[in-house]
Amino acid sequence: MAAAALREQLNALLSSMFASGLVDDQFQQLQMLQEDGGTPGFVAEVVTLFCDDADRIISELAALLEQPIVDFDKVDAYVHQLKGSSASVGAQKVKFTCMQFRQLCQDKNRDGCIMALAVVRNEFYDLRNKFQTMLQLEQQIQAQQ
Amino acid sequence: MASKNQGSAPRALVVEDIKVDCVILMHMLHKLNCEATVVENGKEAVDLFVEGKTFDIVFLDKDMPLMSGPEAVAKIRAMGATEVKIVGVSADFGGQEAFMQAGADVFVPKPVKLETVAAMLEVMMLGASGEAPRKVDHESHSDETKSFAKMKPPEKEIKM
Repeated sequence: MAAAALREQLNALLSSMFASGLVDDQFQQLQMLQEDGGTPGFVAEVVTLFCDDADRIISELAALLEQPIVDFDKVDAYVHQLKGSSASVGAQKVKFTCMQFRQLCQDKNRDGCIMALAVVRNEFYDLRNKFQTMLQLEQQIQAQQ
Repeated sequence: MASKNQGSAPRALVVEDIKVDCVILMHMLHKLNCEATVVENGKEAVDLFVEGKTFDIVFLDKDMPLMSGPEAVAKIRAMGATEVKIVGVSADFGGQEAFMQAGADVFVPKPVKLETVAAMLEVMMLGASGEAPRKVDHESHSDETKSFAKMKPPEKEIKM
C-alpha cells in the first residue's frame, strides 16, 4: 500500500483514538516531543514500556484479588501505579477506570474491585490493540520511505 | 533553551521508579539541553548527594521502593543541600503537602508537561530574585557533604 494511503489510515486511527477519549492531550504531547526532538522511536518506546508495565500490573492485581484475604493496600498501590503511567502516556480511559478502581480499594470492596479490574483490563486491551496497529502502520510507512 | 550559566548545561537528577515516567521526563530534559542523571529510588538519590554529587535541579517521584520522595528530600536538605531546586512529582495530589513539608521547592502533579519543566528550569536559571544566576560551581562541596563522602560510584547513572 502506498505511503500516502498508509498515512491516511494512521491519521484516521489517531483521530478516532482522540475522539473516543481513548487518549488525551498528553499523548499528543508525546507525539510533539517525538517530532520536535527528531527522535522517531520515542513514542514507540514509551507505548511499549507502558503496555508491558500495564500487563504486568493487571496480572499482579488479578493474583491479589484471588487471595482469600485481599491486601487492599497492595492493590491500591498497583492501581495507583497504573493510573500514574496511564496519565503519563495519555491513556485517558484507562486512567479514569483506575480512579474508580482506587475508590473501591479504599472502600475495601472486593467484588467491586474484581469488576473494576475487568473494566480496566478491557480498556487496556482495547488501547493496546490500537497502539499495536498504530506502530505497525508507522513501521510500514517508514519502510516505504 | 539557552543556559544562563555560560557553557554549563543545567544538571538534573531524576528520581523515578516507573520506567515510562522516567523515559518521558528524561526525554524532556534532554530536549531542554539538560545533563540528566536517573536513579530509581530515594535512597539512590541520597547516596549521590552523600558521594558529593551536585545538581541544579532534582525531580522526585513520591512513592518509590526503599525510600520515598519526601523522605529523600528531607535527608538531602538535612545534609545542607539548600541551593538545589527540588521538584516533587506525583499522580497523587496528596503528595504536595508531604513534599513541601520535607523541603521541596515546588510540587508538580503528573503527568508532567514539557512547558512546566521548561518554566521551572527558566526560574532556576534566573534565580529567585529574577536576577542573573550565580555561577553553579559543580566542583565545590560543602564541608557537610565532604564529611559524608564515600568512595563508591553511583548506581545506574545515565548521561543523556
